[in-house]
Amino acid sequence: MKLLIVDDNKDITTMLSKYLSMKGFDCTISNDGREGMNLMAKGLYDRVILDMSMPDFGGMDIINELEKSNKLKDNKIIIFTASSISDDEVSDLLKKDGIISLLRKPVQLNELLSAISS
Amino acid sequence: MDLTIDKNNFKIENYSKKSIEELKKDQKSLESEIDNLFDSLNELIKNSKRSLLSKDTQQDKEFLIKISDKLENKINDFFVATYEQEVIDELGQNRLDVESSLRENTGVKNLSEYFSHFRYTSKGNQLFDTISKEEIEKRLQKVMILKKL
Repeated sequence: MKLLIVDDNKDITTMLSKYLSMKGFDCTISNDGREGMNLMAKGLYDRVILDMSMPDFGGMDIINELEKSNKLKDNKIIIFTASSISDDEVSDLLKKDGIISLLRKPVQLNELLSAISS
Repeated sequence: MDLTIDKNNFKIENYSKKSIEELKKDQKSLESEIDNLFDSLNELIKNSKRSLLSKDTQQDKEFLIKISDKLENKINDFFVATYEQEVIDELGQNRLDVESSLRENTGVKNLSEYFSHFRYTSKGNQLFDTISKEEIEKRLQKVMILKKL
């Protein structure tokens, strides 16, 4: 299974990639929002792990841009977000085509693995 | 030092208990423990493949599961420590932005625009969970009164 991890925090992407590669996933990393969006626009990945909180061009910018170009639905996105996001915001995000799961930070591996396999 | 962190008891108040240096130290230590566990795990997987038909297989498998569990726990702790750092960094940046607005004498309008924007950042949500809107308005008014003096 091909995974794309989009997060500006290199510590997180390196650790996730090490662990998920050990679990047999084929991981690609992007530490930049715009680069991540361009990769997502190609629709080549089975799952995308997307951090909402990134400087300059964050997860919400990526979602809005892909939605505009009608490419959001070509992805299966697992969102990482702050633990205090409201239930309304969660439900709005999950209504969008292409977003399959939302995980609150700090994320735990068992939650992530079950989101990937869902 | 015990680096185990219970996600269920994870609260924003805990950030103040550790300095960013301490968190970075925790993170480095976890990273090195995790690397060692990855090495052990890879070594074990190699050995297990060699001894698939031997009587040691069951023992290898149990050991593999044990190390794998330990690795996952350490990675989870690493994510918590990294997240704490992210929040502290962002709160620090926000403090600088507020101070700069005050220095530039741009007034309540800019500050209130700033807080409106901040409310929509993910970490901002957490801060606003702990400080009520009324409290922030009260503080802003106080700042403006002080600036007029």
